[in-house]
Amino acid sequence: MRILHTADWQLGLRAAQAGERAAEVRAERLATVARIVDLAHELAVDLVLVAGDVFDRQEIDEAVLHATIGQLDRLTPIPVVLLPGNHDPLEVGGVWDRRAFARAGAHVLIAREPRELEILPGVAVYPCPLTQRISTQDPTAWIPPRCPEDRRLRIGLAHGALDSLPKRGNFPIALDRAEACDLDYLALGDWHGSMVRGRTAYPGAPEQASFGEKSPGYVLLVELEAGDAEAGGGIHRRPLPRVEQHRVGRFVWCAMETEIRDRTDLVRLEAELAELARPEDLLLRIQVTTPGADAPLRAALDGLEERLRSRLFVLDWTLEERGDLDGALPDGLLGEVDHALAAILDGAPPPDGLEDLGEVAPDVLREARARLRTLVAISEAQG
Amino acid sequence: MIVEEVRLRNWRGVRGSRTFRFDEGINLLVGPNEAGKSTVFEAMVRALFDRHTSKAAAICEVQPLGSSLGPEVQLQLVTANRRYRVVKRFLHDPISELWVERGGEMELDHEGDRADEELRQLLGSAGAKRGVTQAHERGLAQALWYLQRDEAIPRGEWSEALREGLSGLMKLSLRTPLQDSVLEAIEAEHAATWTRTGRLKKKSELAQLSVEVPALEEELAARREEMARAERYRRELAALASRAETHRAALTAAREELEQLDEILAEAPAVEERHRVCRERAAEAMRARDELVAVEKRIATLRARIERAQAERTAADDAEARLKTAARDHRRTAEVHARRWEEDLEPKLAALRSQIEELRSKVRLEQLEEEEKDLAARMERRGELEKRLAEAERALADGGGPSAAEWQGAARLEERRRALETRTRATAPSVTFHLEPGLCLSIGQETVRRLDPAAAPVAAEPPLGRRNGELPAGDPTPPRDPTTQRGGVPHRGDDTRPADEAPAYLVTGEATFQLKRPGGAERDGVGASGETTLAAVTIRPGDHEVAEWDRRARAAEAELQGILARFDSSDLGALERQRAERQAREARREELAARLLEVGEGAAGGLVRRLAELRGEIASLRAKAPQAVLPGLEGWAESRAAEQIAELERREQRLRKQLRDEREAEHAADAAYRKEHEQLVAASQRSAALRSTESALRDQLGEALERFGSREALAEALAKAREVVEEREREAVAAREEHEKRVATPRRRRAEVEKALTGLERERRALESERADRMARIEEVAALSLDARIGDLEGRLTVTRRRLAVVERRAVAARVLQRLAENRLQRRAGELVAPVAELVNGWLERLTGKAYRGLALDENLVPVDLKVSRYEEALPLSSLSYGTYEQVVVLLRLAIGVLLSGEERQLVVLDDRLVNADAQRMGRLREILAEAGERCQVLIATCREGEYEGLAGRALRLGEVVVPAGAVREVDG
Repeated sequence: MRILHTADWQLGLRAAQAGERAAEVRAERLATVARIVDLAHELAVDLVLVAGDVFDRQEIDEAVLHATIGQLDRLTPIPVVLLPGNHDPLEVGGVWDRRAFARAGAHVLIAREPRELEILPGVAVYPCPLTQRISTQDPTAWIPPRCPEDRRLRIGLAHGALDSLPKRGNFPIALDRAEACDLDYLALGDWHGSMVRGRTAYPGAPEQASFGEKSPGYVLLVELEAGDAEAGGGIHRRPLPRVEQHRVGRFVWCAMETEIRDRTDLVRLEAELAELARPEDLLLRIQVTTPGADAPLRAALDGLEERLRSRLFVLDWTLEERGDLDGALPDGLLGEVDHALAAILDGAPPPDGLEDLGEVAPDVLREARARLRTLVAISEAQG
Repeated sequence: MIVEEVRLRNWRGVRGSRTFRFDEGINLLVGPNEAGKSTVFEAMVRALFDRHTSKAAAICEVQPLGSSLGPEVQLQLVTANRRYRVVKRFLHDPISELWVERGGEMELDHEGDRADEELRQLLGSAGAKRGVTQAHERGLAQALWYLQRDEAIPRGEWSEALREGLSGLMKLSLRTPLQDSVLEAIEAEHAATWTRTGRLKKKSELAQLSVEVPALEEELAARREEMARAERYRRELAALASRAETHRAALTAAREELEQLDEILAEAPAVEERHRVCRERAAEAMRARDELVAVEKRIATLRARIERAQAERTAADDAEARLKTAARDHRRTAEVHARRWEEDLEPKLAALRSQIEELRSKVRLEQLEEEEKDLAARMERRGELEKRLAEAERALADGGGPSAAEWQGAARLEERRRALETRTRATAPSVTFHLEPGLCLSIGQETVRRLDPAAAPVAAEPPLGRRNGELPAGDPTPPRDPTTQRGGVPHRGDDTRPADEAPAYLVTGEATFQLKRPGGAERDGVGASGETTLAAVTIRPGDHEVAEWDRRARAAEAELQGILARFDSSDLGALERQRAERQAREARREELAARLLEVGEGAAGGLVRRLAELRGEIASLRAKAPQAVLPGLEGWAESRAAEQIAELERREQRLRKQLRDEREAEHAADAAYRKEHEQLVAASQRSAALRSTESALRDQLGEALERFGSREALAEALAKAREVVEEREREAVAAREEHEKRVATPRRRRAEVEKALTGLERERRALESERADRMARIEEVAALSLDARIGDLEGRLTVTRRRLAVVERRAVAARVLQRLAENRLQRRAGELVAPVAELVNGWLERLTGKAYRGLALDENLVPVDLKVSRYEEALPLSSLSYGTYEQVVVLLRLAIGVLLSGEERQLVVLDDRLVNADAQRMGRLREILAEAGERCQVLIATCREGEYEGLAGRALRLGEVVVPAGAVREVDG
C-alpha cells in the first residue's frame, strides 16, 4: 500500500511578503501541486491524502479553485482524499460548498464528515474534517479503536498540532492517537515543517509560504504493509510505515541579518547565499549592517546588492550604516553640526529656531550623524 | 574675488574691442556722462551671472545699433587663490567658456551651460529664474556691488538675499575643501527631497511614496471591502443554515406527527361505520317516533278542521236563507216599478207628445202663409221699381254731357296748355312798340303774338285745383284767343290807348317787324297801297325750344276746342256744368238700381223660387193634418199657442223624469236581485262543498285512527317510540364522541399539519433558493480574482511601505543636517554683524564729525537706525538726507567688503554713488576709501575726477577715444 501524504497546500495564499512578485509566487504554488500529481503517478501510489489546508482561505478566487480541480482530475484514477483544515474549514458557504467541485472526478473525495471511509478494499480511512478555525478539541477523538476482528489497514487523516504540550495548540491531537486507536498511520497536516514520529507524520508544506518556515517543500511517500496480528492486548503488531521525503517545492524563503565589516565578510555572505538555493528560487530578506565610513566596502556592498537584485527572485535589502558615532569630526562647521546632533540625542534642547528637532526620532538623528560621517568619509576619500 | 581685466567687443558703444585692466586696490573709472562707465560694470554682471543663451531684452540692448555680431565680454578674475577667465558671447553664436589657470597656463575647464553653472556656484549666485540676473541673485555681489539702478537696501528681498549672500559668504570665507564638499552633498541630498523653505518636493521619491502608500492602502481597502462582501454572504449563509436547521427540525416533527395521525386514522373507517350505524338507528327511531307524532298531529288537525267545517257550513246555511228572502223582495220591487212606467207613464207621454206636435204644425202653417203674402207684395214692388229704372236709364242716355273721363281729359289739356303758355311767356322775348302817331307796325310772321297788357300774367304753376283737371270756382274766362293778335295785325301809332298800354308782342321765333307810314287814307286796312316802310326789325328768341313750346300750346288749345265743340260748349265752364247734370242723372239711376236689389234680394228668379217652396210646404202641412185644428184650439192665437206648447213641454219633461226614475228604480231592484241571486247560488255551492269536506275529513279521521283503533292506543305507541328514540340517541352520542376523538379531530389536525408542512416545505425551498443565491454571490465575488488582486496590492504595499520608511528616515535626516548646517552658517553670519557695525560706525563718526554714530544693524546686516550724538536719540534711516543715506549705504558695503577680504580680496563696486557729498565729507570719504583699498579691490565710477584727487590707485579715463573694430587698446591713467 503506497500513499502519497501531503498537506498545507494553502492555494490562494496572497504571498504579500513577496512584494511585487506575489503573483508569481501564487502561480508557483499551483505548479507545485502539478508536480505532486506527477510524482503520485511516477511513484504509482494507491492513494493520495491531503491532510488539510488545501486552500489558504474560504474566499479564494474561482480561477484558483478551477485550476486546483484541474490538477486533481489529473490524478485519475488514484483516489485522493481532501481534508478541510483550519484555513478552509467546513463552514457554510465555504470553499467546499462551491459548485466547482461538482465537476471534480469521482476519485476526488472531500471528507465532509468524521466517518470511516473504506476507500480501497482492506483500507479504512478515518478523516477528521475541521468545521471551524480555532478549537481546543482533539479532532481525532472520534476515531474508534480497532475491533479485534478488524484486519484492515487503518489510516487516520487529521489537521492540528500534535499535542506535545496538552491544550496548548490549536486543534491539539493526542500524541498517542495512532497507538491508542491502533492506526497503521496517522497522516497529519498543519505544521509547515516535515516531521515523522513513529506512525504519525507531518509532510510539511510542499511550498514555503513565508520567511521563517523550517524544512518545507516536501511530500511523503508512505508504504504500509498489512502484517500479521499478534496476540496481546488487542493491539495488532504491524511493521512501522516506511516514509520517504520527496522534494516538490521550488522557492526558498530566507530572512537573515548580517554585519559586513570588510571584504572578507562580503565574500562569506555571497558564499552563504549561493548555498541556500538557486538564485532564481530564492526570496531573501536581509539586513546588512556596515560601518559606512569604508567607501570601497560600501561600493562593494552596493555592487553586491545590485547583483543580488538582478538574480534573486525577491530581494528585500536593508543596509544600516553603523559608523563609529563617537569619533570626532574635523573642527569647524561640520563638527558643530555633529556636536549639536549628539547634544539633541542626549536630551539637550535644540538650537534657537530649531526647537522642532527635539521631536525628531532618535534613529533619524542617529541616521543624520551616520550620514554626516559617511559624507565626510566619502569627501575625504575623493580627496 | 577680484577682477583683473575686462574686455568688451561689440558691446553698446564699443563696436570693436576694448580692454580694461584693474589693480587689486583702488580703481577709478573716469569719464563724462555717456562715456560708458556703467557699461563696464554691466558687462561684468552679464559675464559673471547671466546665462550665455539668454535673449532677454536687457541683453539684446547691449548689441550695438546696426550690428549683427553678438556682444562679447571676456573677464579675468581671481578667487579661491585661482585665476579664471570667463568668455561669453550673447545672442549671435553664443558661447560661454570658463578657463582656469593651471601651471601658469589658462585651460578651458567648462563650456556652455556647464560653464555658466560652474561660474554661478563659484560666485555663490542663485542665477536668474527668468531673464537677466537681478541684484538679489548675485550672491555676495549684491552686498558688495552698488550699481546704478540698484536699490540701496532692496525692499522685501533684502533679508533673504543677504542671508543667502552671507551664507555663501561664510562658505566662501570660512570654507575648506572638505567642508565645501560635505555641505554641497548635504545640500544635494536635501534638495533631492525638500525645497529651500522645507516643503516636500512633489517629484521627490518621498513625496511619490507618500502619495503611493495611501493610494495603495485605499485601493486595498476597497478591494478588501469587496472581498468582505463574500464574508458577509457567508455570514448570511450561516444564518440561513441555522434557520434551515430549525425548519428541518420542524419539518421532521411535522412529518412524524403526520405519521402518528395516519396510524390513528387507520381505524377511522371502522369508527365511522359504527358512527354511521348508530346515526342511522337513531334516525330510524326518530323517524318512527316522528311518524306517530305526525299521526297524532294529523288526527288533532282533522278534528279541528271538522269542527271548523261544521261551523262554516252552519253559517253558510244561514246566509243562504237570508239571501233568498232579500232576492225575493228585490224581485217584487222591480216588477212594481216596471208596471208603473210601462202601463201608466208611457201612454201619458205619447198623448202629450201628439198634442205638442199638432200645436207646432198649426203655428208653422200660419207662419208660412204670412210669408207667402209678404213675398207676393215684394214681387209687385219690384215690378214698379224696374219700370222707374228703365226710365232713368233712358234719361241718362238722352241727356248728354261729358263723361267723367272726357271731362278729366279736357281739364288735363287745359292744364298742359297753361303750363306751356306760362313757360313760353317766361322765355320768349316780349317786344313793345310805342309808335308815334301816324306810324304803324307790320308783322309778317306767325311767330309773333301780341300780348294783352291788361291781361293778368299767367301763373307759373297751375292752381292747386287744376291738378285734378278741374277749373277752380270763379276761374276767369279763358284767355283770349291769341290768334287775334298774331302777325299781319297792324299796330297803329294813333291808337288811343295810353302809351303804357302799347301792345306788347311775344316773339316765339324769328320775326321781322316793319315800321310803316301809311301813304293814304287807308289806315285801318292792312297792306294798303302807298304805305312807306320806315324800318324793319328782326327779333330772334335765344331759346330754340320756345317755338316748340308755343306749337304744343297751340295744339293743346286746338284739341280742347275740339272737345268743347263736340259737347257744344262755349268754354270749359259750360262743359263742367254739363258734366254736373250728367252726374245727377247717373245718381238717380244708381239709387233705383239699389232699391231694386233690396226688393228682389238678388234677382227676381229667387223670389219666385221661394214662393214656390212656401206653397209646397203649406200644401204638405195641410195634407198631413187636414183637420189640423185641435180640439180646444179653435180661435187660438199664436202667442197662446206658444204658451200651450211650453206648458205641454214642461209636462212632458216631468213625465219623462218620472219614467226615467221608475226605470232606474226597476233596474236597481233588478240588479240587487241578480246580485243576491248570484250570492245565493255561491252560498249554496259553498254549503254543499263544506258538507263534502266535512264528510271527507271525517273519513280521513276514521282512516287515521283505523291503525291504532283508538286515540289512547295511539298515545301509548307514541310513548314507546319516544323511549326508543332516547335510547338510540344515547348510542349515537357515544358513537359521535368516539368519532370526534378518533377520526374528526385527528383529521383536522392532519389537515393543519399538512398545511404547516406545505408552508415549511415552501419555506425550505425559499431558504434553499436564498442559500443558492448567496452561494452564487460568493462565487461571483470569487470570480473577480480579488484575492489575487489583494495579494498583489499587499505585496506592493509591503515593499512600498518599507521603502517609504527608509526614504523618509534618510530624507528627514538630510533635512536635519541641512537645517543644522544652515543654522550654524547663520550664526556665523550673525557674528559677522558686530565687526561690520564697529567698522561702519568708526567711519561714520569720522565722516560726519561725530554728528552721527551708532548705526544699528540687525542679524542680517540690515541697517535699522542710527544715533544722533547731540541728542543721544536714534533716528530712522528714512529721516536722513539723501546724500547722508547714500554715504551710510556705501560705508556699509565697504565695511562688508573689507571684513570679507580675509584670505583673499573682495571686489567692491561703487557706480558714481558719492555725487552728493560735500567737499569736507568727500575729503573724509577719500581717506576711508584709501583704507578700504588696502584690504579689498574697489572700482569707482565718477565723472568728477577732481573729487578723488590724491586717492592712490589706477585711473581709467573713458570718453574721447573710439576704438576701431578688432583693435585692442589699453587706456591707463
